[in-house]
Amino acid sequence: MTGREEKSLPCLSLDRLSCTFGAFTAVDQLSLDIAPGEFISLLGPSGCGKTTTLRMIAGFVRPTGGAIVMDGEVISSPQGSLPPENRKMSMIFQSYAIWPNMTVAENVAFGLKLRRFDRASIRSKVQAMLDTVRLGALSDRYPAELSGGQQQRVALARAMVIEPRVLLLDEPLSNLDANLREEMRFEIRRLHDKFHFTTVYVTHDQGEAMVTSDRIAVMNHGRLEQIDAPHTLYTRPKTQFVAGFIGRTNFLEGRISGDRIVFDHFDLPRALFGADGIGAKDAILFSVRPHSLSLHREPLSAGEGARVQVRLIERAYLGETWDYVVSPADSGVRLKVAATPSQIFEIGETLWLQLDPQQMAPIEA
Amino acid sequence: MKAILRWGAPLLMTVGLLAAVPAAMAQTDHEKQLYEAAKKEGGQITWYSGVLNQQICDDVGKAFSAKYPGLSVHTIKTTSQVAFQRLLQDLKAGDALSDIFTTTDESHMAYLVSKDLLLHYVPENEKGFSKVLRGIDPKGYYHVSWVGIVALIYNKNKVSAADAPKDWPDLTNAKWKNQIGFGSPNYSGLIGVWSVGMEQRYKWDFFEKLNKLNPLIGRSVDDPITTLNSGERMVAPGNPASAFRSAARGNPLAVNYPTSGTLFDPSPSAILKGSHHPNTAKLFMEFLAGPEYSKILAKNFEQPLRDDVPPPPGAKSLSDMKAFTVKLPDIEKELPKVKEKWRDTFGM
Amino acid sequence: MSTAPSPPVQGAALRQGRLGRLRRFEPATLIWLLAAAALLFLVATPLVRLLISSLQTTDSGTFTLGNYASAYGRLRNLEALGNSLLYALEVTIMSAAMAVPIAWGVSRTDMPAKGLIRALILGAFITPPYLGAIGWILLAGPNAGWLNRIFMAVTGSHTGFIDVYSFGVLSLVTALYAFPYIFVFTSDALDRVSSEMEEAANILGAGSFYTIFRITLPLVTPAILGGAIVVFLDTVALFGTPAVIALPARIRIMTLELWQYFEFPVRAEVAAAYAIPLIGITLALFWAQRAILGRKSYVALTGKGGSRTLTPLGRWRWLVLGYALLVVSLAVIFPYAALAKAAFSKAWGLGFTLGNITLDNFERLLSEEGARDTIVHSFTYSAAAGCVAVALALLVAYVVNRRLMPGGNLLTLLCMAPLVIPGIVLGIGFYAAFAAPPVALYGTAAILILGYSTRFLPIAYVNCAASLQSLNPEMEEAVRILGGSRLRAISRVIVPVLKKSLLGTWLLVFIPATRELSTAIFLVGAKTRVISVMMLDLSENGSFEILAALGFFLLGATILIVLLGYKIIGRDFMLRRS
Repeated sequence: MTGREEKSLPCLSLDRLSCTFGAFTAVDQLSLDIAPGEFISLLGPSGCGKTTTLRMIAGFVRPTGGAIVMDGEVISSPQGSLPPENRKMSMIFQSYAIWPNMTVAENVAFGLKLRRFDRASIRSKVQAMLDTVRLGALSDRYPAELSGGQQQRVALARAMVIEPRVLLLDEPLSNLDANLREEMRFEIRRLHDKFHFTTVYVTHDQGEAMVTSDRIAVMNHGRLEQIDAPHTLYTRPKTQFVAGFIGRTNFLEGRISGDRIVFDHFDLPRALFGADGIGAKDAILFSVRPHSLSLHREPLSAGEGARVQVRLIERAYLGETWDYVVSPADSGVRLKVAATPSQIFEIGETLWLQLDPQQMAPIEA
Repeated sequence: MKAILRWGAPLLMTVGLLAAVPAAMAQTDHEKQLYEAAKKEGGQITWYSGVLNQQICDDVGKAFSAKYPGLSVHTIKTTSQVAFQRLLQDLKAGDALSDIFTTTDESHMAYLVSKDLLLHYVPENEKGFSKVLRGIDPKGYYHVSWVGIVALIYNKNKVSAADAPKDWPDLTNAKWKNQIGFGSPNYSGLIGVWSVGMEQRYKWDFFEKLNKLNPLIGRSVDDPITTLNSGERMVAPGNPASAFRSAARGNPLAVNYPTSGTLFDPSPSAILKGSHHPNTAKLFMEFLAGPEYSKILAKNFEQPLRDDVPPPPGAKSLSDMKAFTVKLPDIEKELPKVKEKWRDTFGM
Repeated sequence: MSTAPSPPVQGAALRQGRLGRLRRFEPATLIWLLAAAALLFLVATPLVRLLISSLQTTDSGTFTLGNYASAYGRLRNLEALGNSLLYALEVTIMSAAMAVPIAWGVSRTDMPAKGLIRALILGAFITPPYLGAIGWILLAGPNAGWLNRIFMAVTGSHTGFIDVYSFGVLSLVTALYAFPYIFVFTSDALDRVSSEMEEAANILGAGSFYTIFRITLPLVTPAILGGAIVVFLDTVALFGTPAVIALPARIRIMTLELWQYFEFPVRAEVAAAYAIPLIGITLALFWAQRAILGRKSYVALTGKGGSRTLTPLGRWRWLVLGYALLVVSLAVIFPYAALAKAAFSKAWGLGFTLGNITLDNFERLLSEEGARDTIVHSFTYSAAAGCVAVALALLVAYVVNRRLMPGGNLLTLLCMAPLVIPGIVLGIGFYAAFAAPPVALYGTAAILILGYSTRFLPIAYVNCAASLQSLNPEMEEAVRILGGSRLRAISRVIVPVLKKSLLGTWLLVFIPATRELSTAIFLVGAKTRVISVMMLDLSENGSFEILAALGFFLLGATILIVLLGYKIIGRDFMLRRS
């Protein structure tokens, strides 16, 4: 986020938003501010409450606690909820929800007609938008005559052509095949860069979220775990859940003992870690990404980071990387290490593991 | 009139009718008076009819309008049960929507009389009725407009005239095993009266014997017309009017009037007290009692009500057929018991 | 609404007022209220009137439970009720056994002659059950039935092999004219199941028959059940077929026993008391339906186009066709062949001779001004009733499905109640509710249209509810989030997308309305006569030749209307898609 955006009023603000269905709490005291023009992803496993949150923003579900404020106006609260049609938002659905009874152009023109644009401007806006999503030639087709990816683009065009105050996307790529999904991630980001709609994107795929989003809100069990820019989220996960959910990681539990941090059968100087994150607590849990670790046959000099002698237990070749599992001598700890294909080690070898304390993220909770 | 002719009446009948028209059109002084008064009422009445069929009822209405220009009749022909229920609902809602009510079930009339819902009127023309049909209501509220008759009907292709049953007890002959059919008192008022009549004459034993013949029991008195024509059964007690009508088309039906007497059941009409057109209604009651109406009946193979109108070809007049009936008090007293016995005997 | 916590955001409190107002004045709310009010007016008024009259004495109108005691205090009536339920159950099972395999064959396989089968099923549907029953008496009468005569001639036996006057044949004959309900429901649903579902099962190694029974049919269970419920309720209330078959067979059926209360001594109140508890059957069926369907999801129609490939049956397709032909022959071809003898004869009792053949019966039917009007009335009123019923059912199903109002279950029950009350009893309720002031529709076309709409509302409702359930709600949410109201979502998306289903539903109301007798007889006026009442008149009159001709005419006219529909609306108008 840029400093300019931080200063302006949030476009959309969720304030202690809760939603319960009977005894089940789908969303629990969720607070979130979304700046104008920002692209936020709600990321989490199935059942974490992300879709319910999105549907509350859209106005399809009324919260049982808290409020949603858009441009300073309460639009959802337990007392009442502005109907979806009055929110000036638009949404892309998991099923696309392209109306099969209308042509591509009619689908896209629908929202414009509701806004009472004149015919000529509807036609030009529809055509421009279809060109933008690269469907210009298919405007007279019916949805049944389109491929999945094309249907997806129609849904995008239909949602964006009305220039919504907030654009909502509900797992829009989950029905596409892997290649198309990859392509559409960038397409979505490209469109956002072009139009700068305030966007809330729901997904369970961290790759999608990382490509598209300015910030990612990770949710679990109805609660917000962490919200941060993708890079921060990856390098500085605040919770064990976030660390585990975003990318692969190793957890290392350490204990502060004087000026050293003691791990299972090895220890590192505390000074290497810097000040932040390491408080007065006795025990600290670190998230260590496999990519931040490296293996060497020879011990490097101390200045290049902490090192520990380890034994190679397992390995797997993934093409782009080697996956090694190593264990410090006499320790029960097993660490995953990612290495470049050229770094070939054999099982049973004794090696030196290089740790970069700057890339060891202490978990707060 | 064209429509009437289409109902296949023999040419002879038609000629007879046309000849009779001038006389029929004549109006008595009383009728003239009623006509003048009726014209002032707006001239349209509604007739709830539980008798005849829509076609004939409409023809009656047209004939009435032809005789009394400016007056007309709206007929709603349903079954008597439905007509009565509609009437009751109309009265419950506070307005008589009909002026004339005709039913096959005299007890409907008894009920309406007891509730003081009928207008007392005795048509002058009733004097021309066959004797047995005069004054069926001693108090003069309701008057016969149709007679249901139960005689013996048979399929003459399957049963020779010599073999055909001549009197009621002949029906119980073992040769009719699996070959006899009739309606049910639980569904047909006329069969109800017939079954009371049979029980009075022959005791319940008559029905016990019939049951041994495995009769085909339908609902209406007219069901046998279908079952005899299809050949499913050969003999049945039934309404001669329907049999003659069907036979006139060429169907192999024939009628025997039982030697000991034919059952008839008068279906009465009355004017409703709440009628908004009492004079038109009275005039229509005169019309129903007059010769024109009886001629329409005869032309449609129904029993004419008056002696001055000949019965349809092949049919007997009421006085010739040794007609007998069951009086309302007897029906009201006996019919519920007969229905119970019927269920015990026939299972339905 | 729960009690409000303090407004969460500064300044938000000021805006709460506007929010509340916005919600309260959502204009569409008025439409939902109107639909519910229309439902109350159409269904609750006559039913409440029946209920009240069932609690009153015949004469004085004072409160009594005596009517219920009279109705249910007799073993005979209880036995009749039990027979009726058994009868309805048998009919439902037979109907499903006829409808489901044919629907599967027509919708999902390469069975030949689909068009013919669909047309003949339509023929079965438009045949008044009463007329079909008469056709069957001509076929299977123990003495003179054609089938029996042929059997006796061939085998030399002195007795036939089939007796129409038996419980089994009664159920069979009823099912032959009821199974189209299940057929239409099921084939419509089968058309919507994506072949991927079946292929998914095949790929896992499931054989064709295993796939049919474990995947395809379970997916359309809601439709089969919906059709089965309609058949069951319709059969409980059916009078025509029992009157001509059950009565001579001496099988006590509830609708027959009801008639005794309209004969001397007239006690319509007892009839009402006898009929009112039938609404409980409707309730029980719905409970059962929910129990069977459970929490499984059956959403099949998505916003994506699903493809449907036909299952090749190889030589088995002749077996499926054979079964379909057998059913439609029993329902249409044989009975109409028997009726043809009457329709084309001067005197049908005479048998086949050249001189006896005539078209007079048809000519009489068409040249008669009254008859012509009557036929036009029947078709126009039924068409209008179809529109009213579908519109109301769709709105109410929508309100219930989207939980827009509390009391959805009550609305559902109201929508389902009219079918199970026998027409003779319901007719009195309609007449009392609609004919008299303040509604004062006596003698108008409107009263018949309302009567038909109400009577067949359950059929429309079951179908609309099933259709809505099969529609992915996201289609509608897409309209709303783009700024369209619920009404716009209904008019621009739901109705067009469900067009085929809704037209099918309309037909499912239209056809039984053209043949409805027992309520119509209460509602007709002098200028609003309809075919069914005319048929009754003809049958009471013994004019069997003209009655049969009318039956043929109905068959022809309805098929003509459907063909016209194909032309105007496209081939999907009814029962058929490419």
